[in-house]
Formats: sequence, structure tokens, C-alpha cells
Amino acid sequence: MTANASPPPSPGSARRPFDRVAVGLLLLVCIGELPLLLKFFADLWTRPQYDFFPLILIGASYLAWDRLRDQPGMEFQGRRLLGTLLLAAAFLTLALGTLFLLRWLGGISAWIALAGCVCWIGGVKLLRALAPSFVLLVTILPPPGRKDEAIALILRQWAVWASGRLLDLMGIPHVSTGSLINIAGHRLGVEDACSGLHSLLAVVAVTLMLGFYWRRPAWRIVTLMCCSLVFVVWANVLRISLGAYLIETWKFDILSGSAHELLGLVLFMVCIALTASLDQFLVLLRPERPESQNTPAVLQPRSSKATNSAAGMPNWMGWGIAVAFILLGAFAQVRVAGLWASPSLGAAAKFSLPAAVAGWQRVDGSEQVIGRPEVLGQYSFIWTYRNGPRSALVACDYPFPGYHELATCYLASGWQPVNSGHAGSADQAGPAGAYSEMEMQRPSPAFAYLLYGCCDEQGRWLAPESLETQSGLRLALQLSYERARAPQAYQVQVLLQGYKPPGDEDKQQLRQLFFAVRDDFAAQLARQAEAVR
Amino acid sequence: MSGASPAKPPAPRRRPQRVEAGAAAHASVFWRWLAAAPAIVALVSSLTIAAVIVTQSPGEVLHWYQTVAERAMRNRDYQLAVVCYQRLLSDEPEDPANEFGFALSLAGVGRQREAIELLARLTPDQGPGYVPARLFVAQQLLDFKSPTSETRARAERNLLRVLEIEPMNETAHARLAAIYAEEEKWDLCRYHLERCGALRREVEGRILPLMPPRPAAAN
Repeated sequence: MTANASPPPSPGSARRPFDRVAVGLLLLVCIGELPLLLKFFADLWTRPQYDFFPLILIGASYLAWDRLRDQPGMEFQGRRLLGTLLLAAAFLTLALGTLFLLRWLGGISAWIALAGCVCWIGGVKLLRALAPSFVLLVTILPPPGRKDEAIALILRQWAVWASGRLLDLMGIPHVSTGSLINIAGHRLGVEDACSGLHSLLAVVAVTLMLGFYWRRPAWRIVTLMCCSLVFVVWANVLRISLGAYLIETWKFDILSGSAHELLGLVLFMVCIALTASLDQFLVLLRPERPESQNTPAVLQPRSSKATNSAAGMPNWMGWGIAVAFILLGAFAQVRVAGLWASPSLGAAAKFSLPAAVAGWQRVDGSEQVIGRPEVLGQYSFIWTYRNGPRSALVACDYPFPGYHELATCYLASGWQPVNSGHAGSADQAGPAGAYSEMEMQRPSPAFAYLLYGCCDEQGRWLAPESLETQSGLRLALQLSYERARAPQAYQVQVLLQGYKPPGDEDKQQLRQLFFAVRDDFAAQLARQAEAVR
Repeated sequence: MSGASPAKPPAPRRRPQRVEAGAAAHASVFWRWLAAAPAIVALVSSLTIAAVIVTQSPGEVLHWYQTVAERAMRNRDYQLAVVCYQRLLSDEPEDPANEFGFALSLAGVGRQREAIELLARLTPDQGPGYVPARLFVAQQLLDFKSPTSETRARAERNLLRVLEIEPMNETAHARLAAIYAEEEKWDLCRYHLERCGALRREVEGRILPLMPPRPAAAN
């Protein structure tokens, strides 16, 4: 409804102030949400693709204030029935999240509770006025079951494929395997950051924010968002291709270190600028109608019927909801307080392996220490060992939130499993601890034999999540439950590569190396973690 | 507007188009197009590149890689050759020529162990294997400074395998003749020389240099 069509307000409907009691009650609701919500934010903070979320919280708050500022005639007359329903839904979601240890449900519950609070205080019209803020907040709610990681994998594969074709076009010989691009003398790893996922979500969120701020119509905001996706993906494809070109031609590396970080920031700004530019293009294509057409609807005073129905809700209901949320919040605090532990060891940790172990000799100068702030398993120590004609890579990677299935990383690099299995006992330290082995092949042609295991900070070896018998929702719930309770994991892997399938003797030699190395690593880890604690 | 009412609530402030509210009154169409130009260029170039990429012919790309790989081998740019052959292998994994080229390029960059493993795959004890790889391996074995009877036997096995696949392979016959001459198996040596046509006057000059110097005892 527009200003021109406003019916005359009823004489008795003067502006009403906030219902302060309602605001107080709803603050209690928010306190009930806090324990799981804080865990939710902590989880977001560990996901590089969502680390822009504080900006979105600020943006959503600003948009809400901005929209409220435009409605000086607004009455704060709540729709308590709808508000109660929304709060009940939020309560249920929070209860499920607490029960099954699902942090993302904490975020969703808070979102619904916020909508319920808004409805309680200001009715549907206030909710509608604040809709842009709510839509913006949706961008920081990750999909359940870490589906965003699956999207990241698809994006990464697509980015590698498109960059490869572009490099062919540019006449730069290369070969892509999984998320790696090899050019003469160099190997470029395409991480999530290069795939565009990190900037993708941020650019979409900022586009939404700008669209709402500029008060663009919905179709234009959707168009801008779709085009911003295209810009981000192409920008990252160009980044990879340009990086490969510069290394090949000028030996200048922009795909690692601070140059990579800086370039990511520049690309983000470029994508935002292109989106703003596209907005101008859309304005040229289809100019805005005269101002009156776009004026936001005046919030009408509520009809006496509606006002009465809102006032009809007894006050004890509000107190009941508040008490229920507080109790659930207390339960949530008790239940989730010690879960999703953070790692004791970071960049300062040091690991070293002996020069000779189980008949293998360490290659001098082969040690590498890698820090990758953008990926899971940020830190890696890598060594090369030789035993006669055999050469093996030994790597320690950490931290991981629970057992890390290394096989998926190798699959993403183009390897195909030939044989795999698990052995040993879970939650045991020492030689009897759990480990996994896998034989792989890829069309280069190459063969590999991999041994790996994950241990906790006490040096106990973890087993993979044994969920083969579960499926669907049950599997997802159990997986989340186990992940929440799992300790931080530290991984050891030993890899033998060659152009012929490894023989029994090769495997035996590698096993001996693995067992010796992993026990040494676990002992060093437990010592350092204990010192930190 | 509807009729004015004395009890009318305050009208909302009208700030619907923030960018245009400030700029629209003054900015000319030229400046608007200028502002829109980067997005137009980006969209058009994205679409163009996408179209070119999608319509690339895989056959042409592979042919180009083949050419670059061969040139790199000639120029002893083995690192480039490794990448090219790896690419050819990833696209045509069944072609042993690519595997052979890859093995040679690996040897060129000093990855001897991997090269030997690959050549071993191409010259299996059972099965035909890849003829150029067998000839190459046989030649390498014979080129040892002091070939033993074992290396000669391995070379012989490879060459005999070649003859099973290509009975008239001149190079294999010539090298076998060389081996038998070394071992003073003159009947076999003569047989293979005849098969490769070395005893024909027109090819004598090409084949005989492959023969080892005759042992003193035979003079």
C-alpha cells in the first residue's frame, strides 16, 4: 500500500511507545539463545568463508535502524499470537540443536526468535519493514551438514577446469590433477580461497546489503546477485590463470603468501565495484519510476480489531516463554559448555623426526613447515625419507575438528582408491592405535600407498566415524553428535609414490616407518599439549 | 494523495533511491554509461571467454601438446616435456607413446628411478609391451660400459619380444646380430643380419656399423 492510498487513521490511534515489559521479556528470550548462539558464532569464525559475518551483523543492524528511521508514524502494536508461534518454533529449534549438538540450529533458532520478538513488539508490519535485515542475516546461516564444503569442492574443480582451459588458450602447457595445476617446474595448489568460495559468499552478502541500502527492487537485487556470482567465479579463474602465467613467464609468484592474500582482497573489491557498475547499467536499461512509486509503504495504524486481538494475549504467556527460554538456555550451557574444543597447539608448535628411523634415512634439507590460514589443517610439517630405491613423504598436519578422513583430500587431487582399510583399536595410544591404509592410482600413470592416522592431544589414536549402518537423517545427526564431542585431531601420514604398484616388501617397509614416526609424533604432541595446558 | 486529515500520522521520509537521489539530478547520461562500462566489459568478456573455452577442440589441444612436447625434447627442455607428456597421458592414458615420452622426459630431469619404473611397465616380462621402449631399453643395456651376460640376456629378451610383434624390425635384428656376434654365435648372427638385410650391399653401410668389432680370436 502506498502513501497515496492511506486510509485515514482512527482518531484514537496515536503513536504508542514500545511495550517495555515485552522488550524485557524478549531480552530474556535472547539470553536463553546465547549459549548455543555463541557456539554458532565460534563455528562461523573458524570457517574462512564466513569470517565476514560481523560485517553482516553490523550491516543488518544498520539497515534495521535505517528502515525504522523512515517510519516515524509507526505504531508498535505487536501481534502476540504470531510472535508466540515464532518463538515456539525458535524454542523447538533451540531444543533440537541442544539435544543433538547442532550449532547451526542455534543460529537458525536465534533468527526465528528475533523474528518472533519483532512480531511480538511491532507486528507483521514491523517485521516487513525489517525484512531486508532478516534476508541479509540468512547469508550467515550455513547450510546443514557442512554442505558448503561440498559446494567448495565443486567450485574448486570447476575453477581448476576453467583455468586449465584458459591456460590452454593462453598457450601455457600445464596439467591439472584434482585441485593441483602443474606447469613446467611449478606446482600450483588451488585451495578454497582460489576457488572463489570465500569471496563468493562475502560478495553476495555485500551485494544484498547494497541492494537493500539503495532500495532497489527485488528483481534488480536478484540480478545483481546472480551477476556477482559470475564476477567472483571468473575473477578467481583469472587469478589462477594469471598466477600461472606470471610464474611461467616472469617467475613471479602471486599465488602464495601475502601476495595471494592481498590479491584476494583486491579481487573482492573489484567484484563489489563491478556489481555497483552493473547496478548503474541496470538503471540505464530500466530507469527507476518516479519517486512516489518507490516510496516505502507507510505503516498503517492497526485496525481496532487487530489491536484488540493483540491485546487479548495474556501477559503470563510472555513470562512463560521467557522462563522456558531461560531454562533451556541454562540446560544448553551445561550441555555444550565443554564441547567443540579448540586446539592447544598452533603455529608455535615444533615437531622433529630423527635422521634415521626403521631403516629409512631422512633426506637432508627436506623439511618443510607450511602454514595455510585458509584451510582445514592449517599447519603441516613435511619430511622426505629414503630407503634404497624407495622414497616416502612423511607429513604431520593439524588441527582438525575430530577425525579427518584424509582419503577425501587425495580423491580431490585426482587419485582413485584401489584398496583401502582400517586397522588397530580406537582411543588407544601406542602401536595398537587405530590407523588407515589406502592404495591409490591415477592415470599419469602413478601408484601410491598411503598410511595415515589421527590422534588427540593425549596421543590416543582415533578411529574414523563408523557410521556405515546409518543413513540419511540418522547418519547426519550421529555425525554431528560425534563431531561435537570429538577432540581436536592431529594427523600423521606416510606416502610412497611410484610408477609401479607397491609390492609387499615396499608396504612392509612403509608400515615400519609409519609406526615409528607416528609414535614419535604422538609423544611430542602429548608433551607440547600438556605444556600448553 | 487522499484527503488531508487532521489526525494524519507524520509522513515517512522519502529517500527511496540513494544513489540516484544525489547523482541523478546532476549526472549526465555519459557519466552513467561510463560508470556502467566496467560491468558491461566484464560481462561481455566473461561470455566471450566462456564461449571460446567451451568451443575449444580437444583434438587440436592434444596435437598442440604433442608438438610442444616433441620440441621440448629436442631442445632438452625436459621440465616442459614432463608437463606436456603428463597432460597427454591424462587425456590419452592408453597411448603407450605418451608413457614412453613421459619416461624419457623424467629421465631428462633426473628422476631416473621413476623413469626406470615406467620403462619397466612398458617392457613387461610377459606380453608384447611397447616396441620403441623395448628397443630403447635394449640399446641402453647394450650401451653399458661393461655389459654383463645378464644385461645382454635382458637386452636379447627385449629384442626377441620386438621380433614377435614386428618380425621384420631391422633395428631389432641388427642389435640381436650384435649381441650374437659378441657371444660368438655366428649362425644366429648371420641369420639376423640376413633378416635385416645387412648382407645386402645397399644397406651394408647402415647396418654394419652397429656390429661390434670382431673379436681377435675370430680373425
